[in-house]
Amino acid sequence: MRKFFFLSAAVLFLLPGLQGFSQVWEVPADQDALKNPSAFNNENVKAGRELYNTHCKSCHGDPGKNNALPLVPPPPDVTSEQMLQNSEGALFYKITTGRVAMPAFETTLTEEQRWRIVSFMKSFDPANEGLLVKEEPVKARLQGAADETAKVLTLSAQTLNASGEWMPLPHADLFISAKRTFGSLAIGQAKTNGSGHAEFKFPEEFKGDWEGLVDLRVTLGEDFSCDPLVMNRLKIAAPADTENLFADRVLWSTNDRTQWWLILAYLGVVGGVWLVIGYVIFQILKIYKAGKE
Amino acid sequence: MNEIKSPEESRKSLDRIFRDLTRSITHRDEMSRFWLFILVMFAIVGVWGFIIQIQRGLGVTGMRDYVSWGAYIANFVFFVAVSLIGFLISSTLHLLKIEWSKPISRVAEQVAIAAVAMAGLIIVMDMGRPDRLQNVFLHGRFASPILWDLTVVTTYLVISVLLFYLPLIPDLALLRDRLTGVPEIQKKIYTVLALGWKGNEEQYRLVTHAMRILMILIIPVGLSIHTVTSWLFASTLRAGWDTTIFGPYFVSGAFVAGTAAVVMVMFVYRLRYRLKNYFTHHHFDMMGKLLVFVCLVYLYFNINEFLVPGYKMRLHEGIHLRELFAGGYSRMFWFVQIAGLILPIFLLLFKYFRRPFPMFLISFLVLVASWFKRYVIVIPTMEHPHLPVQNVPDYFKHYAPTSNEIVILLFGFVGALIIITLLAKLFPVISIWEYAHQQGIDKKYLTEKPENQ
Ligand code: HEC
Repeated sequence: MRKFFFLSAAVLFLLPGLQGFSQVWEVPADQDALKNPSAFNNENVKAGRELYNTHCKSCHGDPGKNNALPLVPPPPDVTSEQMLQNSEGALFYKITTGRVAMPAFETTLTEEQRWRIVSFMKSFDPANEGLLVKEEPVKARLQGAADETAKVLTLSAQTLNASGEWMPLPHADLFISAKRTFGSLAIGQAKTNGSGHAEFKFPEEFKGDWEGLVDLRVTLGEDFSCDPLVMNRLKIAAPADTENLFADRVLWSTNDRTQWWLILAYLGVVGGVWLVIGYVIFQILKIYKAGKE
Repeated sequence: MNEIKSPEESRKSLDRIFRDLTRSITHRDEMSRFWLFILVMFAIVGVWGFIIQIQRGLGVTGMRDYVSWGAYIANFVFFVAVSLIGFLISSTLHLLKIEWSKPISRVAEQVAIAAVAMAGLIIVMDMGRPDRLQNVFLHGRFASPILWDLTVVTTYLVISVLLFYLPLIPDLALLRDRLTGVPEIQKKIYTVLALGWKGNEEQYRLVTHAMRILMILIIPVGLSIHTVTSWLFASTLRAGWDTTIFGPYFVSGAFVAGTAAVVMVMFVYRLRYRLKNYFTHHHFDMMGKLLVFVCLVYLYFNINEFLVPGYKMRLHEGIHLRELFAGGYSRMFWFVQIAGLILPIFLLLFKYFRRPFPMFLISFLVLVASWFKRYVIVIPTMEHPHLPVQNVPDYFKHYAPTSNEIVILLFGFVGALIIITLLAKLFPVISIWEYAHQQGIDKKYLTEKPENQ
């Protein structure tokens, strides 16, 4: 009994200490020393970036933008000092095991994929600058048309070749998104075929505005320098089934739909008061006239 | 009203009254020049601060995404509040036939005009793009309290100016006929503004008639100006503003601030222009009683405003109230409540403190507390929005005015003081003809040409 008491006292005593201790994320020495088995090259970094965007960005945010989710402890930005000081092995270990709000990716991602992400993260390390071949983004352009009844977009991508001619761009990823009030909403992807053409079946249930209109943007991946293809007011989506809060004369409407009682009350009161002021000014004129007699 | 005086006596005492009450116009010394100089210096600094703000944008203020209404709005509410005294003293008390308030009417109107003019200007100075002011009129929405506020502030300014001007007309005629030793141009102004006043029955009838209408008209307009100002807050769903008593709460608070302002101006006039026989102990005594009365009404609303939500401490209200009662704003909050309400009520219950000088000090305290009261109303609520504050640097979360902002804030006070000073330098601070009438001097002596001219 006495022993038990002693032990629990010791545990109670240690607990707060442990909690402070846990601020540092310990990595076993052998794990820390692990080296990335995959080569540090553009291809792996690119693959890592894609994995990062699907699995990590939601919490850690865009690299360098410090727009991570406000969790406790906060997920550090990949370009931050805290992140970069990790060795390759440490990153791999932390991604594998996770801690608190940081999920363990041991079962979600293969070892190879985790190492690709490490490559991507390490590409922000100033020590690695110059190791990667700088790839100039390829100039490209997009064209497209929409069949509003069949709800199909026909898209084509072209790129400039060495002699300055536009050539079809095969096997490129096209990203289709819709403009929404607070940004853009990704709808889907399409891949160009061997002759640079792609078809995108617009999802049936996707909602536009009350008339079913949407503003679409089609972009190429980050490796291309290309203006987004803008297709505005396509009648291709399902009509929104939310209530139009501005359809009636309501309090929050613009002036042309102001409620009648409001206009009448405002104009009535203001008009009435100013009529009286006008009357008083008229009396002042009469004072002037009365002085002349 | 005193006994009807004999012609001899009447002329003599009118001369004396005229001399006393035009001292503010004729009296020029180092002191008044120095005073104007100081005011103009401060005004220039304020304008300079405003120019910087125009060039660099509102980023030079302490306002950020969350606290987008800062000390400017507190200043605006303060000045709107002070201006309300015009309608309390020169209309309500007048209509109730309260004799002692009559000589104070013009002071009250001066304060009202100065305050409401500044209130309008402060709003413009709070705008990021003042060059787009006309859009408020062109595209303003009838449903927006901002548009109502703009309407009512301009209307109140016009009525206040008229209410200042109408009873001034007979005085302007006196100045035109009798005043000596002022520049020619100033006499010209009096002549034009006097509208050919002859002092005949018809003219007196018209003045009284028009004044009566204005005095009645200004009551609803005066009540609206501060009620609508309170709606700017109360019509939003925010902790601390979302309350139904904001209208009367603001109006009663306005009377406190305005009464204090008028007492201070009265005291300075009494001292500077040697008006001891005009702003008497009796006037200060009565103003002291008025101040206690309006403070008590305001205290009643304060108790309602804080006790009722404080009893429940609902989620967001609770966060807000804790910040006021015991948090970061507690010092300011308790200063405002104690120094601005409890203490004056307690002190002014004693006749000793209702003498001119103690009244002046107490009024000063009340006025300072009134300003901070507006600060406590505006800013803490802004710092506690319903949605979480996130992804912003730390200095977005707490507001404090920058020095650039402070010089612009001071401009409000300086501007109001300049307006009051100019009005006192141009026109008598007490209505001469009404005062003479009260002293039993017949109207016919007013339009007589004095023999010595
Ligand atoms: C659910 C949100 C979430 C997701 C998704 C997430 N993380 Fe994290 N991450 C966190 C949080 C929270 C921490 C901080 C944990 C701590 O310090 O206890 C963190 C910490 C880390 C760290 C350690 C940083 C340090 O302090 O050394 C690494 C490395 C990391 N994350 C990488 C990743 C990678 C790679 C992915 C994607 C495969 C990912 N995270 C996905 C929330 C997340």
